[in-house]
Amino acid sequence: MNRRNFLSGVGSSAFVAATGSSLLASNGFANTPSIFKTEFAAAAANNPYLTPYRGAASDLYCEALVIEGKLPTELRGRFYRNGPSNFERGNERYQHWFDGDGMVQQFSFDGKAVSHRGRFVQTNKFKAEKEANQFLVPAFGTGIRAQMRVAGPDSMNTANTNAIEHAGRVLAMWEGGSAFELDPKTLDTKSAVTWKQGWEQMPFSAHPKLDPQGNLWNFGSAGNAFFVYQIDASGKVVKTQMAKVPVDRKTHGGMNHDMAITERFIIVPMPPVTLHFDLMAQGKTGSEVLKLHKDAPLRIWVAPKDDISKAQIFDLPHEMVFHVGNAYERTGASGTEIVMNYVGSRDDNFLAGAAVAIMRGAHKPAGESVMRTVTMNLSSGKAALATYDDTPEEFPRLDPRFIGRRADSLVTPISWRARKEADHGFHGLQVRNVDSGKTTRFDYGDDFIVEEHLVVARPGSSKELDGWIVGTAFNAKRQKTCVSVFDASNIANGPIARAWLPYWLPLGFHGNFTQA
Amino acid sequence: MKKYLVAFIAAALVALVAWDTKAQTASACPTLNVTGLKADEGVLMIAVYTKSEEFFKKAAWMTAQKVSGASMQIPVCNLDVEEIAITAFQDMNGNQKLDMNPIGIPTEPYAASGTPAMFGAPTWKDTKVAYKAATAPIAVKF
Ligand SMILES: [Fe+2]
Repeated sequence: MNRRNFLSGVGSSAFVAATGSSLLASNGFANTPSIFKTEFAAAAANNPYLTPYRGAASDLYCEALVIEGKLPTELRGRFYRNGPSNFERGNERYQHWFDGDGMVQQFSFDGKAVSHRGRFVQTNKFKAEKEANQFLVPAFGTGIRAQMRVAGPDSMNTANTNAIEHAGRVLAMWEGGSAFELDPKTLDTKSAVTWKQGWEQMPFSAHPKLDPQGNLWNFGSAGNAFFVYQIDASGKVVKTQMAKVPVDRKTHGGMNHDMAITERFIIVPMPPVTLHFDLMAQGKTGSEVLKLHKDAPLRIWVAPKDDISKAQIFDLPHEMVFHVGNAYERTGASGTEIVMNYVGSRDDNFLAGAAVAIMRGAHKPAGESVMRTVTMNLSSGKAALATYDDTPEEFPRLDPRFIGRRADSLVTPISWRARKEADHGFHGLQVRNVDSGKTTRFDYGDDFIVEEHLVVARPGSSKELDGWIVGTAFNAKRQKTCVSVFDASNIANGPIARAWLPYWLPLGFHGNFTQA
Repeated sequence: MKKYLVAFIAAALVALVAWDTKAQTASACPTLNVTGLKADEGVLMIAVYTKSEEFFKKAAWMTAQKVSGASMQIPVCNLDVEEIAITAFQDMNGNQKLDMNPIGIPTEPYAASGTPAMFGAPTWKDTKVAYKAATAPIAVKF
């Protein structure tokens, strides 16, 4: 594969996409607050559930959270989260939830107490815009005329999607460009990470997966060009690969978000989604700019880890996919199959509707968001799809020791009853047995917006779900964020401990727990 | 975007042809004031274009000079034109081309004269500046 092939394959990385918006953007900066800013401020004044969408004004620190219940003494380590946390500069407010600057939250557990540190990732974009008190570069979902040199994706990188501590460094990840490295002790931002010479500013997605040997696997994509990274437990790059994927850029390549690994394969769902930033820059929003092509398939890319050029593609009915749960291989009479769970949506209501509306303090239905199981037979090339139920859930996680292996359980925030106030937030937590479909649930209640929850293994144990489930939730009545700790094998009884911050945090996307 | 990439490739190819490594020093030459360089690293590669249709294709004059500080002054002499456009890059590894990552994003610093767009490739239109009538040094900001 030579470079020229790649050049012609580039088409939908954030950088490329935003080119259109900067060239066509007509919206300069007004002297009066934008409509998103005024409408949000008015709505947030009357709706306590909107508080986290205000964004954080500054870095945060709390030496000792208030503990309810009793923390497990064996639960020690650092719980990281990341999410869009600054939405406004000057008179402007971003028009899509995904646009905000990343802030890494770190909760440190020592078995008795919990401290918290939250710091904005000091990207070049963040520093320059803070200094100027205005937005200077185009964002994922807001057409902003570039007023600062955009020399590649990292000029617009918000580092806002996920955080993981690996090989002694914290990686704050985005989708279109580099991860940023932060110091685990201070959360000081060091720099953008270049994994190998000549790969500056390459897309490094936000959902890497750790294998049992401590290898961090990740992919990046730009249009139909795919890149795969294997980083060993010491943080060294073992191997990078590139390949072209067979998708029609008229229908695919707008957003390839998450990935799965199995023992031998790396798997990326490619939803039939395109993004039209040129239209967004002309002031259009929602489904006009983000298009889910209902006549094109969801394509699942299944590639051998050791040679991604030998990938197979499985086609499924059209569907938006953000997140996978887990995947594993099994071999039987009909050959080798890969079984994977993912959260699917046959509509684009969330990405093009709710995630825009919330930024002006408005509510739109988040649409379908259900757990599915796809079984892909590598011999026949056929895929079978099954759905558990129509209850909306998202942010699936599992016991990290079982990533890429057969596991019984997936953990998700979920809403099984209609909510009056909390726009597209979840009120409960669920553990589902992926084979039987049987679920156990805990209802946080109407005051909470429940975020992603992680499984943390009990040290020394190898039994699935022997350990804890840890996650954040925003409480609208108290206007505070807490971390709940559940016995992973029994969430129905509620948390065994809860640590309350004296403040609220912006809602985040994803995180990871590094055990001490 | 494709245009942008192609333009950079063209620039890289142009850079491969022979370079005039001696700075011209004749009097009454308009001077480029190149700023924002990474001090004392690599080689400053400059291409001067004199025609719209030759922009990024055929430079009227080129020079390569070892970077001696964060800013450098380069005289551009003996061109019988009213306007010129300058593109430049800092060749950090000395391979005489503008290196790019696998998706075509330059991995070495680049710059142009005039008021190049903040986003995308420079064009003749936004980088051209007065040459013969230049009264002050021509700015090329990295
Ligand atoms: Fe995600």
